[in-house]
Amino acid sequence: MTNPNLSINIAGIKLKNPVMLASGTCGYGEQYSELMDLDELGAVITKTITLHPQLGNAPPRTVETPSGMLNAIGLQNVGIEQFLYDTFPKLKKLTYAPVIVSIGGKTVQEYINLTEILNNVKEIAAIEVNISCPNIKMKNGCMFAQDAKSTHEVTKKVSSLAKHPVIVKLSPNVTDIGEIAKAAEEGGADVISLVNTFSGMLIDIDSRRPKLANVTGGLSGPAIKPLALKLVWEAANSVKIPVIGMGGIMNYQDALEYMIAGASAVVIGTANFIDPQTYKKVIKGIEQYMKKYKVKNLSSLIGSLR
Amino acid sequence: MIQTKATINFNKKLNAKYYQMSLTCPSIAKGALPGQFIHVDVASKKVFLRRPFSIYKAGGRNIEILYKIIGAGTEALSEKKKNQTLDIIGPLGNGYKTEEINKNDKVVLVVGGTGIASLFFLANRLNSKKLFLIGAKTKTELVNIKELKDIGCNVKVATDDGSKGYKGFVSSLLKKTVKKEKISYIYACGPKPMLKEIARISKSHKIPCQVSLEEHMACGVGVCMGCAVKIKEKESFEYKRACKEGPVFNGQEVIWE
Repeated sequence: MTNPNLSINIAGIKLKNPVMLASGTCGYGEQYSELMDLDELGAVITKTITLHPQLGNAPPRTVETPSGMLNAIGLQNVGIEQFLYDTFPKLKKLTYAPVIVSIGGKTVQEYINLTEILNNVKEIAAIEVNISCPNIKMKNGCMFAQDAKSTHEVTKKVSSLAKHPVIVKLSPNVTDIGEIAKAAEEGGADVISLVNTFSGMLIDIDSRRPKLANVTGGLSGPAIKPLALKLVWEAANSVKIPVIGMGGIMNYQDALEYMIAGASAVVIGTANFIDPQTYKKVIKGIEQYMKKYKVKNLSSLIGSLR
Repeated sequence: MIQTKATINFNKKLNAKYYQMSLTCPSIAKGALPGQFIHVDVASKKVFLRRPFSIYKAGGRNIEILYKIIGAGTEALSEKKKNQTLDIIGPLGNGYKTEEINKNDKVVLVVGGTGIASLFFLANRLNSKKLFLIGAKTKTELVNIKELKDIGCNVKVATDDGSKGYKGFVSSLLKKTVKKEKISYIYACGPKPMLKEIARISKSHKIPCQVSLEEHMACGVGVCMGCAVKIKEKESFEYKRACKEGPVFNGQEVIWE
């Protein structure tokens, strides 16, 4: 058969293949451009940018877990001003791949300001609204993504203003993901992406202290894959907008599971730290799978769970 | 920075806990500088993330690391055999700065534990007078001292139990040394409490000092911001990455906690 078509258009975001790098696991491309061919990617999602520079949390910020890791970085970043002046132009020089900019805030107003600022930047493929960072909480101690009303409110404000497609990134730390996914859809999200990390902690029994200075952090890696896959499947069944799936993808088989469960595209995160070539193997593996099962277009694979 | 498959030339047991491994990886060996490290996939089901190791030697087509078994990662590494391959990324991080060192300067290199790896590499590249101070719990933990003497180091040892050399911490030995002799520069690598004390001694004697910090790392290449170190910045501080801006820092810039 002729080569399968891996390209996909998600709410106006044109991807040459469905494989992207996750926010927070590829920085702004400058390091991995030495180890990866970023042009081969479907898209690059930047580390979350906030309105003002963030120092981040005290160390230790990461700890290994069985088949995964916990992190509590605390969104350390240079802030939107420096990002647009310096970081983003550099990233655009590094790759032709679409760049999705992840934004985060503590208040709805911060998301509004960030959206307005990014409206002036043409070269952005989409914005990913990170309302699910477990290390940054609202005043009431919750994330926006843990409450349907707050999810709806942020999404509505951002979507009504944004000139770029809006992806809303959801948290797995919820009782009913379908309800939250619908809240984002009704708020006007073009796409939802999930999952962000699962809240977790580890304790050092000798010192009886938490292993992360922040006490709790977000769990990622293959340890969360079955949990995340189930949430992506549920979310995809709850909304009509496209879903981007992620959580512990280490190989092409994992990626295909997400697509069969209903994800239109997949995101590689923690696996980048283990093997920066994972993206390449995943793209190739999906292509070979499509050949083997005579799948001409990705769309016939998405949500094809029998 | 390069990601490559490196073949193991040897993986030699030095004592109960210490190993020395040689890897063929010309692309990394060529540009590696003292203080830089490699990030190694130890390819074990018991371990998830890569593990960082200071470069001990680099020359020709090969690099060497010197490591101690401290957990599942190093345990898995110790079980590797000749001719097996490891996926490694390197050389990573910033090495020791040596521009200020002249031939007639007397430089002190202070190590605790596996800190010997990066400072052996540095000593091998320095043509000044070199005093190498090694700290260990007991004499059976000491490794490769002859190699240090062979590259022209004057070596002094401190053991906690007094089984060899000076009895006490290596930082106390440093303190005695700087009181007696004119020292132009201090380099140190080892556990944090030791480095903190060395930075304090260097400050009080106004001797410039660089320290190499050992931190847990996830990505190792500068993207994840996981290996944050608190560094003085104007009136305040900021978190820098041990893997990118470090692992070598000016001892007076580190905020020790």
